[in-house]
Amino acid sequence: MWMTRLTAAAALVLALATCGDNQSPYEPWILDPLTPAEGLWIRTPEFDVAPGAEIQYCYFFQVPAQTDGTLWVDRIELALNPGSHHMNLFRVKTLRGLKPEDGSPVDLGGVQGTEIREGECWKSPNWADWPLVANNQQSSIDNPIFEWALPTGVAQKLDAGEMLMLQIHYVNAATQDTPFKGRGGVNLHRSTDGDTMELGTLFATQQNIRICRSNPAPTYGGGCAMPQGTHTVAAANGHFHSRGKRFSIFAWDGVSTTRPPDSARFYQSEAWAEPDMATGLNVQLPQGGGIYWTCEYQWSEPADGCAALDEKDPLHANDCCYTFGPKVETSEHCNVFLYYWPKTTDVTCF
Amino acid sequence: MLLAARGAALAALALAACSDPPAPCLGDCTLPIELAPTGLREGDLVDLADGGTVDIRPPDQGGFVIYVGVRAKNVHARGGSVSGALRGLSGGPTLTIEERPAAFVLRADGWAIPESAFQDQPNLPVCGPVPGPADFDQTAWQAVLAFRDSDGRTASTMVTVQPRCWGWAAVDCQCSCQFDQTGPCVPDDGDASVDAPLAIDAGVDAP
Repeated sequence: MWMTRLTAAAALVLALATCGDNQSPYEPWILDPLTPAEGLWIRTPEFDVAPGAEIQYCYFFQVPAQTDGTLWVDRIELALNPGSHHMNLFRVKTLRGLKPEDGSPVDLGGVQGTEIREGECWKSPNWADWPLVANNQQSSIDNPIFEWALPTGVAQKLDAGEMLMLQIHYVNAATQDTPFKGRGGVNLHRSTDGDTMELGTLFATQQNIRICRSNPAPTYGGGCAMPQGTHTVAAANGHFHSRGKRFSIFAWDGVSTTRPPDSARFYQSEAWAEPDMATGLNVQLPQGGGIYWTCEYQWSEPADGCAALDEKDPLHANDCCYTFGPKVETSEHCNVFLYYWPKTTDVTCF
Repeated sequence: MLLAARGAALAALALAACSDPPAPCLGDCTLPIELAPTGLREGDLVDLADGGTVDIRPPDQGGFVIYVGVRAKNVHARGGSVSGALRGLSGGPTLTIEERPAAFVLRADGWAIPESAFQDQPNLPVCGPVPGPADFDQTAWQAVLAFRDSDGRTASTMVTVQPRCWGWAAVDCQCSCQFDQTGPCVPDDGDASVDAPLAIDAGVDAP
């Protein structure tokens, strides 16, 4: 009898241990710090993500002084504790409501920086013209580190003194779970083999979207033209929230006024929480063309009812509509993150 | 055997009851789809004739867009989509393109019009990072507009539009819309509209 009880108690302890509370033992990811000769590294502090919470933190830091004024990066490592919705690294350009000098000092390991939690860090117009440097949406326990070696001869160019911003979004609610603490890390490895082809990035978003009870399976699509020249896509990923069912990116000829054929599609993902980051694509975009992307959605009943959605619906349609916004629980996105070479300019479409 | 057949029949009935009814036709769907261009002007949904002006506005995320679309007749509007593209008057490269679901309301005269001028007309990005060959707000462009109804029938139309910076962000808009941004930005006083707003108050929800 006592043996049975002991076995049951042990099973209970084991079950509780696997439930994922913040006290559970967790084997943290490790990224080795880089010497200045090896590149640039940062680690965010650990932070709590309370049950029911969605948080977004912004970390500002400058690219340290470089011998020749430039840091060429040809390998990127991005690491996240489980539960992250996204981590984006931007170049800071026009300052609006989100400013590095308004942040609190923070030790980021390889550099010192400032940190702004919530508030302006949620407001996307603040970084509307801030070019993307790198992004990661992969934060599973089994696969916490995303590593990308850029194509041969290609590197990301960062200038000494350039201000960067790392943004991390964590969710611990109905749609995503943060079982431990939040934390992110970045290693930007210096190119040492003479790469001179600069990597460019493209960020595109469909912002005026509605996924409503009365029209539960809408599709939104849009095109984004590249600057003049010939461009090769090296990597891409899509981003939406839990109503997102299929994300597709196509090569677009820059002339057609309709969606490109399926044969032009080079990216597709049906995983909203951990969308695939496709690397090694080597897709030649048509001269004078660009990309076309589509987001297909399926409406679902919100866990907490429709009141919050109806309240923020600009049309006041009372139709339980998810509209554009950063909160995973109550809004939707339709964003493209794309990396190409050779860089002509940073491209944004919205 | 009989029970199994009855069960299958009941299951089929139940499934049929769960699926959406077919979208009703707005007009006469044995006739070709009719389209007429629409756009947003000074905050109102208006019919567009060639050369008509449309607002350039700053949406939530940043940047600038114009809103151009269609009103339609003889369509199954529910579950349909509308697309728009912008290019030069002589054709050539398409500068911007967008496709979105179309929610329409039925007007008393039998035309289905966009329920929302912002949500149910293509939002076409212009200015700023969009690689235009000239000042967006000082140039006329060709808008190519298409409609696909829930039966997969399509129709398209074209209209020449003149985007204009309008509203609280007009100065920022004019500077952002300059093709040559190497010199100083000198905003002008803009222009006035003449098109009449579409009456939507007589409309009923298109199913």
